[in-house]
Amino acid sequence: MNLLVSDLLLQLPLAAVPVDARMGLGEDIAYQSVGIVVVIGSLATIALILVGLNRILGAIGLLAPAGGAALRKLPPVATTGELADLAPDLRAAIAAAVYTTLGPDHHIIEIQPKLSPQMLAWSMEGRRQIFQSHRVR
Amino acid sequence: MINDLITFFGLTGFIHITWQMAVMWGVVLVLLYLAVYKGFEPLLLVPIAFGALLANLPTAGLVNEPSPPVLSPVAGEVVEWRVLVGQEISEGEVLGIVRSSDPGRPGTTELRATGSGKITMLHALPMDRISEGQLLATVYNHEPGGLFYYIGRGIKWEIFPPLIFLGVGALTDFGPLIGRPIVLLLGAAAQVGVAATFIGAMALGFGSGESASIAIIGGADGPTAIFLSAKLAPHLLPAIAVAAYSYMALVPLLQPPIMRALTTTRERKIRMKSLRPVGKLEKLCFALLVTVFCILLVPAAASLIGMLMLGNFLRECAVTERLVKSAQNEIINIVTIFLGTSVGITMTGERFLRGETLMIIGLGVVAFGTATAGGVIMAKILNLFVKEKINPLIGSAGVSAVPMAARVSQIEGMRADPNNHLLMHAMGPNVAGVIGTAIIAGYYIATIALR
Repeated sequence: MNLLVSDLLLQLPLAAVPVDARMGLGEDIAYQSVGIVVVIGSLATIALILVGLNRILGAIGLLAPAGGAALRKLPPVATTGELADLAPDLRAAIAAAVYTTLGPDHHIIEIQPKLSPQMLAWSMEGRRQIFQSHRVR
Repeated sequence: MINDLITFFGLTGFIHITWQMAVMWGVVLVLLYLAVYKGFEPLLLVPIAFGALLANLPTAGLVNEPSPPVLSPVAGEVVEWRVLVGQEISEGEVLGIVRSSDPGRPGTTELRATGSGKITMLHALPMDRISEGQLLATVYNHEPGGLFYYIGRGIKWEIFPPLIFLGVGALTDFGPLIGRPIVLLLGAAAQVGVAATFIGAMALGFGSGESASIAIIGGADGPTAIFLSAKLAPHLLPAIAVAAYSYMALVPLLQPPIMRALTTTRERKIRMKSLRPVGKLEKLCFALLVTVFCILLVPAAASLIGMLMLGNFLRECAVTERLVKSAQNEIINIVTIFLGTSVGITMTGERFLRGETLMIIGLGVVAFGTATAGGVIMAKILNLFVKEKINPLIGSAGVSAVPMAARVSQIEGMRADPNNHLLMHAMGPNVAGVIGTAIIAGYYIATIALR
């Protein structure tokens, strides 16, 4: 017996009636109600599957670590010198970049705002290309 | 010499221009204006508009079939044949006469050749009973088909929409959805718009296949709308595709008034808790589980769901970087050009300039409006039961239109509270809407095909 779930759904009383090209309003509403029940039911089932998956992975320790919890393990370091002089939004941007690329187990010890001549050349080249791609007014 | 010039003029396309073509040039200009100067879905509207321009020029060898089969236009019987096997025929030539047995379309109809070639077989004899669409004669033509005959196979054989879904899957991060699974219900609730529009379309006199194809505009998912229309109502495909993509572009105008009308200022200010981080394993499991579950539920949507999740698996597994880049860029871009122009090439004046096109455009607004309302109302209902409140503005993102609808939620949220960022929260229902639309499309295909 090779029955698919959709075949079973089609055996439901409302959907079992073939959809006529000119159904009555009541039949239209019944047909659409079954459709909505199918969609909501299936997405709710996926939601339940995801909750179950989360629980199972959590129980066997395969869940992604929560970022906040990992951060709390490390004591904050007082910002001094050049780091303290840096604008807070810049500090936040750099910290976010470090967190994203290196992970939560890293502290920023030092920030060197001065660029080496090679790096400066790269940024100048980038700037030149950006300006070149715009119309000069 | 003057006679030669007159003869040459007779060979040009100028004398084949019709008023419908001229009107469609206007439609093309409007579409191009919206796409180029207003930025309305330019990636799709430009190819569609250009395809429509080609469709409304007296082109030669652009869309012709290589060996056009002769199909019965009606159910009834063959009255007579006016050609013999082996005879050369030309396009438009009368091949025979059929009589309709449909009380709604009584009388006889001429069978005309849709291309040139040689008759190789007649499949029905005079007085034989025939059904609509039945193959009556086979024609051989050594000439190849037109360019868009072949490109158009991508829609007819339902190749392009699943390939677009491959790219969409490779571009989509399902993390916000996995992080808060309850938002799947917002994507489901937005499908109420599809259901309501189906009922409206039926009330206006459309058939069930046509109504389903029109209603799916409310899903705000272009590839799914094209996929379903190509299957259930191919003759409405151009109008449905144009309406779907136009309204998707108009999401920032259509949704905010409905969102504001259905929510209070206090609700719009609800701040949602940050999403938990979602790991690679969870994302991979999600792709596999959704593939298996959805295909078991609605096998008719297997190509859409399968390709969407394949693209997403390629993205999340992190070992197929080259394939992901191809799916995200080259494949989706190339297919978009072909899909757009293939839809446009079907927009001939005779097919597009009809009252039903206006009705489809009107029903499209209803579909979008009710879908938006459905998502917002579902979020409000969920707030009655959940501890962590949901900002109802993210419910509107359940209409798909990724990521435009999520951006609208973000903008409306910031309008109420400039420091409230809803974008990532809205991405959950946004991608849930894609899955929901594919499921309801599969439901329609499975049930309407039973007729």
